[in-house]
Order: sequence, then C-alpha cells, then structure tokens
Amino acid sequence: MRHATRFLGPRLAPLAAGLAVVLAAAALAPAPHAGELTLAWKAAGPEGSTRYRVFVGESPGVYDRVVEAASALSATVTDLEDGKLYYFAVKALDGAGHASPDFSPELACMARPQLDAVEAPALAPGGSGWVTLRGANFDRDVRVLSLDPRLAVRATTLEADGRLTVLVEASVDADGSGDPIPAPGRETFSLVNPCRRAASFFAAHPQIADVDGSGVVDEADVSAVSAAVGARRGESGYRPAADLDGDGLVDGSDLERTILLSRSR
Amino acid sequence: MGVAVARIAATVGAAAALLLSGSPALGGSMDLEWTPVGGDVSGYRIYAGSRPDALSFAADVPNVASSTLGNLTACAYYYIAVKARDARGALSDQYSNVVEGYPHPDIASAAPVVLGRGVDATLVVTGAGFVSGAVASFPSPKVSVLASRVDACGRMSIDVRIAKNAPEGPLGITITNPDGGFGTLAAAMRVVTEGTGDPLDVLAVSPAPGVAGVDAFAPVRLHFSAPLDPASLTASRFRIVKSSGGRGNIKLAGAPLLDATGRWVTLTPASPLPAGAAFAVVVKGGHGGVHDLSGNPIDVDYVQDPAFTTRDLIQSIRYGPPEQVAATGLTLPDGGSVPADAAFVVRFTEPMHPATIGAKTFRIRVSGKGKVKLLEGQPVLLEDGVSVLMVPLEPLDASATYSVQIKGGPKGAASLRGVAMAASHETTFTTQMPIVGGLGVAE
Repeated sequence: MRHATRFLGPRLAPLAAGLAVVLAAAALAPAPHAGELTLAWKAAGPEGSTRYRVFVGESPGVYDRVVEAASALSATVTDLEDGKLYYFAVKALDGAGHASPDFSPELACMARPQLDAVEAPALAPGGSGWVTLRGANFDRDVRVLSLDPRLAVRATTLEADGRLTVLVEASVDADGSGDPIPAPGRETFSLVNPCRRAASFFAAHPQIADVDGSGVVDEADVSAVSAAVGARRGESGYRPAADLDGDGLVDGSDLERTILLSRSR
Repeated sequence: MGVAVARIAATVGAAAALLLSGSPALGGSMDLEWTPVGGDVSGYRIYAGSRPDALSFAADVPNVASSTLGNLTACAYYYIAVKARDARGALSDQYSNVVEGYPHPDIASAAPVVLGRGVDATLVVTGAGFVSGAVASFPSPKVSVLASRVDACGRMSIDVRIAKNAPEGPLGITITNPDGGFGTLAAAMRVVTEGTGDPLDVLAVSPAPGVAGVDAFAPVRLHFSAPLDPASLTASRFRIVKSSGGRGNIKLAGAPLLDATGRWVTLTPASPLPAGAAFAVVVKGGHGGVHDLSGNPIDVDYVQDPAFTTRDLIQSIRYGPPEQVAATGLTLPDGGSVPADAAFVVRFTEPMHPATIGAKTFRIRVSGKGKVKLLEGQPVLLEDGVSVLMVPLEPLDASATYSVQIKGGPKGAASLRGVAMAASHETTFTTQMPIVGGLGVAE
C-alpha cells in the first residue's frame, strides 16, 4: 500500500543503517539500459489470419514507432529509454490489411524494471531488515515480489535518488537449525511495474467509473472505490472495476478520478 | 355566274339586266350589277330568297348600277331580283330577271405562310363560303394544285406543288365555288428558295445538356430556329432515349405540342422519368424529318449530347448504432468500412411509397452468400417518410464483405409521386476489425 509504505519507511530506516551491505559490482558504475517491455492483448479475430500492430509513442495518442507482432497475442518492445514513460496501443488487421478503426485503449508504462544490484543484510529467522535495490525503470508503484519462500516483502519505498528500499521479513526458523538466512541477492526479487490507462482513455470512456454498473457515475461509485482503496490485484478486496487506471492497485488516483467523473455527469 | 335579263316595270320605263358579279368582297355577300332603267328613277330595291318564287325585301339602294348584298348565310343558295323605284317611292310592278348562286368565298388566312421551292405542301385555308366542289388556283403557273378538299364551309385543305423554278415572293390564292363565285387573298403566302435561308436547327433544349439532378417530372422542351410545320410534329420524330441504365425510348403521353410561336415543342412522358439515369432528346432530321414551314429540315438527326440526368432517388446510405443511425448515422461510401454491429438507413430524396418498402426491395447480402436476416418488421419506413431502417438480427461477421441492395425498376422502390429508380442500387462495404481489447503487460 502506497500510503503505508511512506509511513513505515522513515520509522524503520534506522534499522537499515546498521545492516551489512553487499554491493554488486555492476552497481558501482551503472550503465544505461536499452529497456524493453512485453505487452499482451486479447484476440480480435480468427487465429492465424489476424495480425496485430503495436504502436509506441512518448506522448498520449502520438505514436512514432510501430512494432509488427504478426499473429501473436503478445510482443516485446525494445530500445526503450530508462525512466521514460511510454504510451502503447494495438490495432488488429485482417488478411486484406484492413485495420481496426480505432486503437485499443492506450496504456502508459515504463520499460520493465531492471535490477542491477541488491544491498541486503543477513536476516535471522523471524527478523526483518531493509534491503536496497538499485537499477532502472522503477515506477513509483513498482511491485516487488520475493522469489525466496522464506522471505516476504512487507513494504517498498522509491527514494528520491531512484533506489528502492524494501522491508523484507524472514520467516521463523522452519527447520529449527537457527542458522541465519543468506542475504538476498538479485535472484531473490522479481519487480513488476504497473501500466496505467492513459488520461485520453478516460475522456473517451467516462463510464469506466460506473463501478456498480448503474448506468451513471455517482456517489455510490465513489463509495465503492473508496472501500477498495489499498487493494492490490490478487488480494481479496481488489475490485477490477475500481482500479480505474488498471495499474493493479486501487489507490487515491482512482478515487480522485471517480469523484471528478461523478461531478461532471 | 348566273346572268339574266330583267324585265322592268312599265312605270319606270326601261328594262334592266341584273347579274351577279364575281369580284371578291366580304364573306356572306353577293355582288350584283344591273342595267339602269331610264325615266324617273330614284333607286332600286333588292329582293332575295331561297326560292325564286319566294323573294323578300333585302335592301334599298340609290340610283346606282351595282351593289353588294351582305348579311347572307355562307354556303346557302340564294335567288335575287331587283325592282326600280321612282321619286315618289313607287316600285315597278315586276321584278327584274332572277339571278341565283352562293355568296362568294371569303379567304381569311392560309397556312403555312412560307412555302419552299421544290417542295410539296398541304395548305390549310380558312374563311367562309367554301362550297363543296370549290377549287383553288394560284396566279403563278409554277404553283400547281394537286388536290383540293372542302373540309367545311370555312376550311379547305389544298395539296400544292411548288416548282423549283417558282418565282420567289408573295403568292396569292383564289378559291372558286362551283357557281363561279370566287374569293381571293393576295399575298397570302410567300415562296422562298429552300436551303438559302437559315437551316432549321435546335437552338436549345430543356433540361439542358449535361444537367444533373433533373426532377422526374420536369418538362422536356425544344427551341427551334424557325417555326415548325405542324404536320411534321409526330411522336416518331421526337424521342426521349435512355443513355444509361438500359436502352430504349421513353413512352410519350401524346403527340409533341407546338406553342403559338411555332418554335417551342414540348414532349410529355407518359410516366415520370426514372430516377438516377441519363436521357437524351433525339429529333429526326433529314428527309422525312422535322421541318419548318419552308420545308427546311434539320440536316441530320439532333441528339442531345451530353445527356441530362435525373435526380437520384437515393440520397445516401448511412450506418451507425441501431438507436442512433437515423439521426446521426455516417454516410456509407461504396467500398466503405463499418463496424460489425452497425445498422443501416437508406435515405431518399422524396417521400417513399410504403407499399414499395419490403424484404423484396431492401436487403443486406453477404458477398457470395445469401441475405442477412433483419430484425422482425424490417426494413421499415420511418416516420419522416424518406428513411428506411435496416437492423441486422445479429452483428455481422468482422472483416467480411457485404452489400446493401435496393431494387429498382417497375417492381422496385418508388416514391409517393410514382418515381422509380432506373436501376437497382448496390453499395458494397466491409465490416471492420474489432478494436483490440485486454491490452496489458505480460508478466
């Protein structure tokens, strides 16, 4: 949760200061990356005869690159500049070259997060500590997952200098040995950036905020989104309809947009 | 000409000879001459009747030797005699001799007024006093009478031949009744040299060549360079032909109509011209074609080029969401692309006849396949009277070719005024690819 992360970060920061630090060699002189991102979509026509074309731009609705995806339902866009927000949309084409009359709803995304170095202490079973992640393309709402079943990510903070500080909690001593858990490394974490629906999408689809399906965007929808604030995709309180920008997290921006749309009807 | 010698009463002395003169005068009249009697004569009294033994007073004239007796019934046979009158008003005891005959012919007009040299023509002479058996004659021997027919007391038809070397200039005509009475109209016509004047030409046609959007009921008129010979205005010499959408002539309601100037001809189709087709006016020229009063024809057939085009009955075909297509539908061009869930409205240029709106006249077809099923009760003519709505029962297949078809011709869609389309209409379109959904990041 974004607000919770900001609260926990300063309070636990002194703990992190005393931890041993492991620096990856690459982190000493981070090189610029040629970022990439893999997009996927639903089929829009018969398999095999339907082709797809991905449009890429640096401004909403303005596309200066085209990536041909052939008949696949996904495509990887490469050569994305680190830290820059890109806008993506897709069109389908039939065998005669007739394209969809309009673009798919536009997504605004950064390139896939690139993890270069991890600075982490050794954790005792049941203990916790702050881990610093260095790299590129960390969205403010980047989702950090632990691939080590003994470690759980409890909070994430994007610092002003671009690094991520992650509160990691070790599970209790499952095997009873009392041995410390090895310090986590790059292979320990998986990072996922959210993609958001672009602002132009909301202008064209104001009914997106009709969370309860009543036909109008009203106070009931504001209440529904408010109740879901803080829920991530996959969690029990998560409501896809309330996640207006589609970033996988129902947050204040979704609530604010719902309020605006309810007032403009 | 009846001539008789009168016996005049002893009281006035001398005998008088009464006769009918044949000099032309007004119709319904007879010209009389007699030999004056000597003695104390102050004038004469004229008697007339339908029988020689039943004469009655007709007119008193002074002491003259001739007079014209008017107010007679044209083509009636009269007996006439005179008596002398002395200064005291006493009349001679006896009539002069009795003369008899018809009022002489009176010619009011002859048409055509211009005759070309070297042509045969039929003259129509109007007036009064043309008795059966009357004949026509001309002062020029180069104008010969082929036949004369008395159509009525006031009308004769005369077939004439104008020799190629007939003198140019005014030409008079004389009609002579069987009794010798005659009437003449000087300079009734004019002989001209054929081909030396302006040739007959079509100066203008309405609708003008190349004009589009002509109403199906627009009059078709032609303006000629010279007055036409009415006898040459036959339906076979004037045609309205289809230049597109099939061949053939448009049936005319009757013979071409010539206006008072003789230069404007109006053609009236028997039914409104089919909509959305090209038509041309054709006038037969050359020998046997339309000619003017001088016999001058058009050199060759006149064919209006470019043709004029009647207004299309279909204004547009629109597509859009079913509930919005009538009001805000977009125009569907031939070969256009539409969403697969679109509905269609065919908009016409004038109110349509509901009886011509149905499944047999309006349909959506899949290319190479059958008809697309529409919602029940459709196609339907909307309240505005000019829009026909077609909503497919199911969304169309994406990225496929369809066509909207409207049947034309006599069994096709028609307007309330009875205007039909010259040919069936078809607009082809393809359905669009759907908009891609579900775009996200592959995790």
